[in-house]
Amino acid sequence: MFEIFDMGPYNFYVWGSVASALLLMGVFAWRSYAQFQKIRQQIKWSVDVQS
Amino acid sequence: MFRFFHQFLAVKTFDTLLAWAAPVLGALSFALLAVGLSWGLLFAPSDYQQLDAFRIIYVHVPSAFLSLFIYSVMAVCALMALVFHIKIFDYWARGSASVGAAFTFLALLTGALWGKPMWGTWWVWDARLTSELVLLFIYLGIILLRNALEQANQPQTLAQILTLVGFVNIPIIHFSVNWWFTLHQGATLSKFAKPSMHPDMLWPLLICIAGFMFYYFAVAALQARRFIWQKHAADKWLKERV
Repeated sequence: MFEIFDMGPYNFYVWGSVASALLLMGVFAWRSYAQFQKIRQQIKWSVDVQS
Repeated sequence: MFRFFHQFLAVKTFDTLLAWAAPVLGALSFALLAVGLSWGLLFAPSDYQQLDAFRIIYVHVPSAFLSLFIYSVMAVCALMALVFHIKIFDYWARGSASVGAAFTFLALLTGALWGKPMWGTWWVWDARLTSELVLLFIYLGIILLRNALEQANQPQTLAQILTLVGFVNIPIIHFSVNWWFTLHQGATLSKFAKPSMHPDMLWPLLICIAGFMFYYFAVAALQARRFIWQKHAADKWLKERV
């Protein structure tokens, strides 16, 4: 089994890659969701104002 | 029959489909990535040459594969939008662009993190690396052009043409390792007929690629919905959905 805390010189490179991938994907997914919700709120607000 | 298929090309139906698909695909992606990354990072055997450094493959190869796959999807969508003027293809192409740019950046970043311990350098002006960098610039150009056209209230025709022109780079990236002498290794995924990886290493890689693929569909669905809602904010059907 892969020794998580004992990878010698490769520790930084492997976990750096995985962490950067998960961080980028997580932030990007959250940003996409937030952008959609923002548009949704704007339209909801305009509908509420009109009615 | 034509009418049956035609309804799926309507923006309203497409939005309904995306609303249903985004959370389902997102959950599938999360599950597959949890299994694939855990398997690949914790249980797959070490490589006899690269030792544990080879495990970068579980994020690098899916990112690189997706960067090419997403652009190919964008090119098909741009062609359909340009020739048949079907709006949903343009929304999907636009929603895909930023996801593709993110995966291209990730492929370059993880490639650099793999290159340093294996090649002794973060970057070389190698055919594969350089053509992948050009792909990132093409993605960014398309995103900027689309935003500029949107702000100028112009149709997205120029962005669709640019997407099709940029497609010439995709076969160059794919075959660069065959056409030129490169530091980068040959294709990993085209060796299924005679796999060069042990199944214990290959299966988690395939699961990770599936997880990245579902992530793309889920996030591109969110992005496409954002553009649909921006464009159709005044439509009655959309106001009923908020």
